[in-house]
Amino acid sequence: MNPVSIRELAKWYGEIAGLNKVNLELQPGITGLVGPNGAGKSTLMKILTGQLRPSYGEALIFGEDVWKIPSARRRLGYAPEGDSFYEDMSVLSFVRAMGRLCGLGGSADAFAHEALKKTGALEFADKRLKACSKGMRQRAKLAQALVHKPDILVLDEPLNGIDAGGRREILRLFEELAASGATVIVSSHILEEIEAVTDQILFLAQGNVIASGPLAEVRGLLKDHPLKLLVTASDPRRLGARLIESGLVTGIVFQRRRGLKEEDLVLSVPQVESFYRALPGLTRELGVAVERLVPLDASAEAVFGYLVGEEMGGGA
Amino acid sequence: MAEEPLEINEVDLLPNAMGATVVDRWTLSSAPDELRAPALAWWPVARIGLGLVVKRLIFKVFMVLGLINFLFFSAMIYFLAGLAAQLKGQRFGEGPLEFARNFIFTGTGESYRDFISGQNIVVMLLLAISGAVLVGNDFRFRSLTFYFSKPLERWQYFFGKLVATSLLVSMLTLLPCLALFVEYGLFGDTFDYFIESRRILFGIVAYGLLVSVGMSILLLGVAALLQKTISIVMAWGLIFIFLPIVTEVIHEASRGSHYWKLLDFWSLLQWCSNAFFGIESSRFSAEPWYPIAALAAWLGAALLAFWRKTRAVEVVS
Repeated sequence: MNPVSIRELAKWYGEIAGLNKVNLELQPGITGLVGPNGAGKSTLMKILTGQLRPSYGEALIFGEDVWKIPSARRRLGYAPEGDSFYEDMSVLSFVRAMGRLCGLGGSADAFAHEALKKTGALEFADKRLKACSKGMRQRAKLAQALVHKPDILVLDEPLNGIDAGGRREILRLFEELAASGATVIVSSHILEEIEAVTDQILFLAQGNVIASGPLAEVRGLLKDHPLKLLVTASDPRRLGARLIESGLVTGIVFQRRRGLKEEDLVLSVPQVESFYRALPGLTRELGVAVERLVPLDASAEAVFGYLVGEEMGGGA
Repeated sequence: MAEEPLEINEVDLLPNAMGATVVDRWTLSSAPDELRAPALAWWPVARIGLGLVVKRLIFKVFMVLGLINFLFFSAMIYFLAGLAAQLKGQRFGEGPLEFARNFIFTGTGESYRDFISGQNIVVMLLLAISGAVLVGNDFRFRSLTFYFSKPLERWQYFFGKLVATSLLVSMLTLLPCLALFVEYGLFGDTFDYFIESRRILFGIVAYGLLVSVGMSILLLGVAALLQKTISIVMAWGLIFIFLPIVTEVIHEASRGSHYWKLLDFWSLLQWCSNAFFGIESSRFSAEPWYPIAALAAWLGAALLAFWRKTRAVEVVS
């Protein structure tokens, strides 16, 4: 049974569609949720955590409807984007109280300590929430989501306000959780963050899932947008001519490196796999050395731009 | 301060991910026995609410005020018992003792009713000040998302808040009143007082519970609707000070029509207390179902306001 199943899920706010008949099956691991403001990310997360009633369809947690069966939420941890809670509470009291709300009894204290340790918040556990920095509050929020050791974690912008070092730690924690069998759903505006820990990405726009799956696969399906590859070679002109002749590329732009005579090639590659298979043979045949091969528009951000019909450029 | 851009180095991440020191499975399956039954999910809500108020200075101030009144009555019962023991058998002892009893504390339904009614003023002030902390801030600062993403139904959230508020009110009304009842009975010559005064005990429990639960429901509705302390205090003043004055004026002007009194929450509580203690009163003599219906309307409106506000959490702007 999949940890998360979403079937025909729709949410309407009056005449505005927050979500439009979304179908999803999520497996253990990390899934990134990507989309601009108003795409439906928050609506999806709120329905998934039982805070919103769907207008149509259902969201299932291990086969149980999360709205109709509140106990299904025991297997779920949620860190919302906002962090307003009782400001006079200490971080430890906050996490402990959240643990109790999840059903923990006498062991809530021990579980709270464990969660605080996991998220690196133990050192300021006695600090009041109102005295905590944004980064500390984010860690406290993560700890409360983890306190009852859920199977599914839903995290809304969990890295906001955390410094670069802290982000790395938190991303490692996500990977650890995923490695131990948890399903981690992360939304973030900063796509590089999501890409760093998963290639399983869900693209949302205007209440619809416009693409989902491993990033490379989604990118490969964008036939109207050939992959742009930056190539640094010992003889770019010769290599370019041969590539055009072979039909492996549909366009070439020569790009002079700043302050240098040398040129780089920016190739438009429609069939990426065929290209990668043929390239070594071609370079051997021509005696041209390839020093660098960098995809320019395979990032989540670029893919998302293509998906919503917005040309992202990519340096070509 | 500007944030440093995120730099993810896959080489940095791999050893930790591969190191897999996280074999302690981070899932619920490791601790299923630790969890409380879902039906009791309201208790942590009540506990959080109580904790928030009890730690505040304002609560301690009002508790002391309430205790002063209680200690006064308690001391009077003790004083009367001592006086009765000293005057026992003396020729003119019974007269002054009866006078003191009637003047200070009679041990009848009226005296317990008046004690709780006196405490109600402290309760009213405490609730006006604590309403935002107990309930209003959850709506105002969107803390409800933390509650409703947990295995908790909306009625359990309501019930938890109701229990927290009712316990606070009971600490100032029902519990001290029961203590006075026990004290009065213990200082009597025999324990017959406990047997003879079963109606009084019923009155104390019923009126105490009505005050605790009724005022709590009213507070939940007002606090959910208005949220800020200043607004709640103003609404509270309207309900408990302004409305009684206005209804009294209209009552006088309309040559004693009792129906206007139905708007006054205090009068409704007073009517119920008389009914519980079996006290005859000419002050408010409408048909019995009128005040019951009016009280139900007050509480129903408060419940509706609370319910609508929790439903409104669903609206995403």
